[in-house]
Amino acid sequence: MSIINAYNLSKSYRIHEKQEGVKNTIKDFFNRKYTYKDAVINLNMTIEKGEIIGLLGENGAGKTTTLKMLSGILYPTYGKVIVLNYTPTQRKKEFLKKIAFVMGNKSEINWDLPAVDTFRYQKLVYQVPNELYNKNINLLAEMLNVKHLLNIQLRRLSLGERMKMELINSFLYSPEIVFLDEPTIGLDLNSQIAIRKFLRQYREERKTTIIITSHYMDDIEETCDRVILLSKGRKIFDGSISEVSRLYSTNKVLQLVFDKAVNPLEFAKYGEIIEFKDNTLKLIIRKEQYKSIVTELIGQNRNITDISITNVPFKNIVNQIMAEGRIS
Amino acid sequence: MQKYLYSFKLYLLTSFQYRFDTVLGLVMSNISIFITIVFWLLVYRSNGTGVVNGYKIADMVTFFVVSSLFRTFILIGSGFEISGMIKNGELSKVIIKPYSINMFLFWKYLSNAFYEFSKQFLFMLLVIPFFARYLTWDLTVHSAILLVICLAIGTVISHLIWMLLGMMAFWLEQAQAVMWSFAVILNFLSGMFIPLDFFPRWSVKALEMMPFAAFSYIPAKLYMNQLPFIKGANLLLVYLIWVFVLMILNMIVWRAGIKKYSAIGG
Ligand SMILES: Nc1ncnc2c1ncn2[C@@H]1O[C@H](COP(=O)(O)OP(=O)(O)O)[C@@H](O)[C@H]1O
Ligand SMILES: [Mg+2]
Repeated sequence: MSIINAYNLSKSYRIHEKQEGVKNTIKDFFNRKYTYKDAVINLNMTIEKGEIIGLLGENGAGKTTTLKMLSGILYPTYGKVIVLNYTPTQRKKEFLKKIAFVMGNKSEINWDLPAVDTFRYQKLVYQVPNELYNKNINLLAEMLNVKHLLNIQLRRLSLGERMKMELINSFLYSPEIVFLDEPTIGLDLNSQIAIRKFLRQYREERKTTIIITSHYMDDIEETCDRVILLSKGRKIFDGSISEVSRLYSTNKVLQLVFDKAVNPLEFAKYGEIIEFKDNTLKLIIRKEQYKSIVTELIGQNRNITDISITNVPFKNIVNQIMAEGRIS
Repeated sequence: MQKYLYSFKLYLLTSFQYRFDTVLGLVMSNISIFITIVFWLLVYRSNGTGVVNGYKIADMVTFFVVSSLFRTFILIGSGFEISGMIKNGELSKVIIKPYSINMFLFWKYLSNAFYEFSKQFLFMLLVIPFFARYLTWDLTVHSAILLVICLAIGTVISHLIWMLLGMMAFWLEQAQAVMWSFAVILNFLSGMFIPLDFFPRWSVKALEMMPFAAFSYIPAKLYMNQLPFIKGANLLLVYLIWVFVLMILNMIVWRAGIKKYSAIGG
């Protein structure tokens, strides 16, 4: 039996349409108009113990909604989910003690106190024995390199340090499944790297199942074994990280800035144009052709003032996967 | 229970960092009692007989002074906190913790009430010397026992009522506005401004049996030794039944509401 099983899991939110004006407000009061937003549609997935899964998708793809259904915060509108042999929404105590949910944008820790006070509270709530508590705090603080910060008021810490405290707070009762919703959002690069490294290392030692959502490819690429791609509420890809990386790394975005107006179509032969505005052209090219294209452009003296190369945006990867018809 | 008390300790630690709020809050909350008492003193002066509806001046002042102490145990905060959590999505973090949110809020606001009570009590010790001749001191042991039990039941009732009102937020976007209107009505029905025996005779009995009377009116009457022991004991039974009914309502409303919860944010 897998640790997480979802069958046709679906969630549609009811949204109250507000109308302007006094007359409409009154009308509204007696006859409410609702629309429905399908946030997750027929999601099927199974996750095994000890996997690190990346739930990847653009903003609004349904990642957070999925995690909320897996953890028992939201009732599915349709379909079924079984986690650790429990129905999450029953929110049984034994179930809740085995899961943790870290929200990248919502702090659990009291800002006015040192983190260690919140940890002690967490210890009581999750009934962690003294010995295990001390062992876990030591281990986690060491792995995340924040031992010297445990007794400092939270508001004096940097964003990255606070996120690390957030992680300790959620890992200190040794949960079996950890849901991380955009854990690296807004963090500096060093903190991002430290957190990714921590997650991998922790999983190696404890065989904890970890599910991370993100809209950065990097987050997922370096941490996860497997990736599930969501687009507009639907799963469009479920497979090994290397398959996505291949799509991700074979192409690059070449950005050209011109000092006067040009006809973008002249450049269509190099790759797919994805944006053209303010004399700035973005096109997707094959990575190995980068050098030859740049040499050619410079040789032609095209009034280019700046050339840069970036990763392919997420949207385009999704389009590519859809185009290849690999909807699994 | 340890975990609930620990959360109170954390709360105290943080609230001491805002000492000015504490002092200001104390003054503000006493302004309304002060105004009520001055109002009644004026009524007595214009009336001239020194007795209104069986209350001497000392009875009336005592009634409001002890009421103000007892009313610190009305756990209105539970309701506003739960409705806020529902509205802004904070509830998400809380419902996946292995504790009961209802109990969590009860202990939080109960410990907070003890804190408020102590502050109010100290404040009273400071000002009462100036008022001592306006007060009565008739408390008996029997009444004292009933009084403590009544306050305990009253505080549970207040928590349950306010949780119920707070959970309106599962259905209503403007729940807090509705709650403020309820607060005015409940304050009135619990005898905050006018003792309940000033109401028409036929309604007094009914009002006394309402759960709101347990907050401060009946405890104040017990303090003033103006309630026969048997009657007091019977009323406590009625309030216990209310506790039971309100607990069941809380359970039903929670179960229905949490299915509606849409976990905004995150
Ligand atoms: N509580 C809510 N009420 C109404 N619509 C919501 C709510 N939460 C999310 N949505 C909508 O559902 C869709 C999926 O949201 P979400 O799961 O948060 O996406 P993601 O985490 O991938 O960015 C979005 O279009 C969002 O606007
Ligand atoms: Mg999200």
